[in-house]
Amino acid sequence: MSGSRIPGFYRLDVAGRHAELKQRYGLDEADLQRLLDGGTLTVERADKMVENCIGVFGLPIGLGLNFLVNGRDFVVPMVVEEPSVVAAVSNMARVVRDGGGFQAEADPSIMIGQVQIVDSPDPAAAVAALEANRGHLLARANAVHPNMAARGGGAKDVEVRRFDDPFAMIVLHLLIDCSDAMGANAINAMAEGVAPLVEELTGGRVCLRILSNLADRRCARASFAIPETLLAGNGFEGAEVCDGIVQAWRFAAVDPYRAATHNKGVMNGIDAVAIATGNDWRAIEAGAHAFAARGGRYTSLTKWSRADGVLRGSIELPLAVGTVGGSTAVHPTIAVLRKILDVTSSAELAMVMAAVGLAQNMAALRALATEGIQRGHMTLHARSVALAAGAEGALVDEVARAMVERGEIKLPAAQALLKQLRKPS
Amino acid sequence: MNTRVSTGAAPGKVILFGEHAVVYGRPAIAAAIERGLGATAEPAHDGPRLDIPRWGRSGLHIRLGERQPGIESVARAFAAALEAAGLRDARLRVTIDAELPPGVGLGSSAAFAIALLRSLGEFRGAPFSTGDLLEAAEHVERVFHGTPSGLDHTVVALGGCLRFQRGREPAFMPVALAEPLPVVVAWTQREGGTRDVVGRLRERHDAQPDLYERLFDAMGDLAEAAVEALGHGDFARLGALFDLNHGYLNAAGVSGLANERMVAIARQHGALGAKLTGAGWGGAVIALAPDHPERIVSALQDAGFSATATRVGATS
Repeated sequence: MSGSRIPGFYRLDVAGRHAELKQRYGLDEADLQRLLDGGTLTVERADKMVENCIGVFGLPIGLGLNFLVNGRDFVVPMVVEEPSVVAAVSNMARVVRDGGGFQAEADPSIMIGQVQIVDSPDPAAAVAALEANRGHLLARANAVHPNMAARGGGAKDVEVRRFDDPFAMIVLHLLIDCSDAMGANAINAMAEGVAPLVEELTGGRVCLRILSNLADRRCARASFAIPETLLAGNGFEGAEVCDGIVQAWRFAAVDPYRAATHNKGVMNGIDAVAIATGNDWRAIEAGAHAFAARGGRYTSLTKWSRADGVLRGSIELPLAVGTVGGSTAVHPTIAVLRKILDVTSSAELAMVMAAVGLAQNMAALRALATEGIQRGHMTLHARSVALAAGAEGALVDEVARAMVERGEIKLPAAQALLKQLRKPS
Repeated sequence: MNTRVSTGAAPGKVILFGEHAVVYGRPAIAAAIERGLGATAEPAHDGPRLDIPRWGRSGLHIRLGERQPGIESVARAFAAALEAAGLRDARLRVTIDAELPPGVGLGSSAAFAIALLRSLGEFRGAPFSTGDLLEAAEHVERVFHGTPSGLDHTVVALGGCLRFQRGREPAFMPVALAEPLPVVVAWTQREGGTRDVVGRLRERHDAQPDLYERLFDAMGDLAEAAVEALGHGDFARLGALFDLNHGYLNAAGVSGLANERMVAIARQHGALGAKLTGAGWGGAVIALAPDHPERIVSALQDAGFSATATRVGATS
């Protein structure tokens, strides 16, 4: 693995980019072939993955460049059909890199398996029985799927939640450390495996036994603090761009209608990496949005602030991703993309994905902010042109607005408009 | 619920190829299965104690230092594990639960030792290294078995799939699997102890060594062929290898009536191949079942056997 800066990568053709991959990341011809038409999933394999299979669907793979996370370089494969996502994230990663890069961390891979208990004759006694038999419940769960616990993971603890309203039920949570796996199959097997014991202990009936996608014990966080001046450019002051970013974030922080769009931008990047690494992006989406609403009102997954010339951005969200198992094993392209990404654990993958989400959000906020500034600049400029053309009073704003609308802010245009507006109708 | 809990687990195992022949120096292939034993250690003021709610008629509840007739060997194994972990008089309680039947050759005593030791390693805050775990497990298993071969607890501790050959250096080699094998495992009571089966075959071998050596050679060849078929995920070939190996085991006189019935039922209901696994004379069989394992499981259950669909050789 060499650095993640590849100057001029976007100017190369696909063959040129392949040459870079070969030279920098040790990919061989077979790997590269797997990235091209026909090198991907075979129809035979696909037919075993879904029902009524009629073919294989293609999507572009782009490389998110410039990522520096905890001092390590990452070239991030992204599978996405939307233009500009990859360029935008690479540009922002470049800016953050120049300011020292991302700091990131990830929780242990703790997932929640839910077991729902109804018709318990004595809910209080049932709760007490479950709590008193934690050791037995965990031993049973780990016996059902021993491989995870054998490697230091597995069922680690239980939680008991009691609901009385709007109906009575008890929900047992198995907290399961999935190590480097996403873990869905093991979690479901464990939740099913403890069900008979749970019924025995509670006298109730077990209904649902399944993992929760609100994986809030398995969050990843990424942040950075960079000088505002790094955001300067194209005629914009760094400070005004950063102020625009913070203002745009404040909107999302208080208004769910804006937050949905704001977080969609975050997930543009995260989903693209999830697909490229063979992870279940629907599960990640579900977890992210449920997490964004955890306080009772849906809000932004990111936070932004500025002080003393420094812009700070941060993100926190559940990222239940794996580097082993699942489709990582069956899709040939994923193996090649994993080689390029080169993460050593699911925790590291989650950290990179958090950084990607934050950079993607930064790109969107910056675009919105600079667009706003540009419009502001244009209006100011148009007003001075209108004044120069001789406009007075209410006509100044009227002429300026008309020029901004037409996108032509020039003296002759102002004069023509003025003449037209002064003409008695 | 914030007191510290420490967990450990270990899978069961099946011998895929080469049981009995392995005693005579031929290679055997064994793999972990996807169910096993779980152990949880928690602080307890009245410890050390061990509860195994699903063993015995109403569970085993062991308190060291008390005379508890009938369960001395489990108590001694527990004491040996505590000793190995340096937790002799620790105030702790271990709960063990099993998704494996004991005594049918699926590695339950090795899994008992490994799961228990793992939970104790976590409890003391210093997990066992693999080497220490294997050594300690051998001490614990010795309480049950006298002199264990080492095959069971090595497979159970390492997981995945291993080739074993006595006298080879190294004796254990990992076998790479293209994918975990989808199997049905079925079992019933044993008709005799492992030692009886092994002893009986030894007598016949020693009386006619030329005949039996040829048979063990053939079993060894199957094991070697299986290594390659496992690597390629060639299920058709593996099915044939299962059937052939079962035939040789039958020829060696170690297959009981129950084994023959279970194997026949599995084949009738779509298994690609089936064989006894372990010592024989009852105990367990394994059937390769990539498609509709549930049909095989229910046919076996209808015939009065225990059966479950699982995967072998998985490492995750």
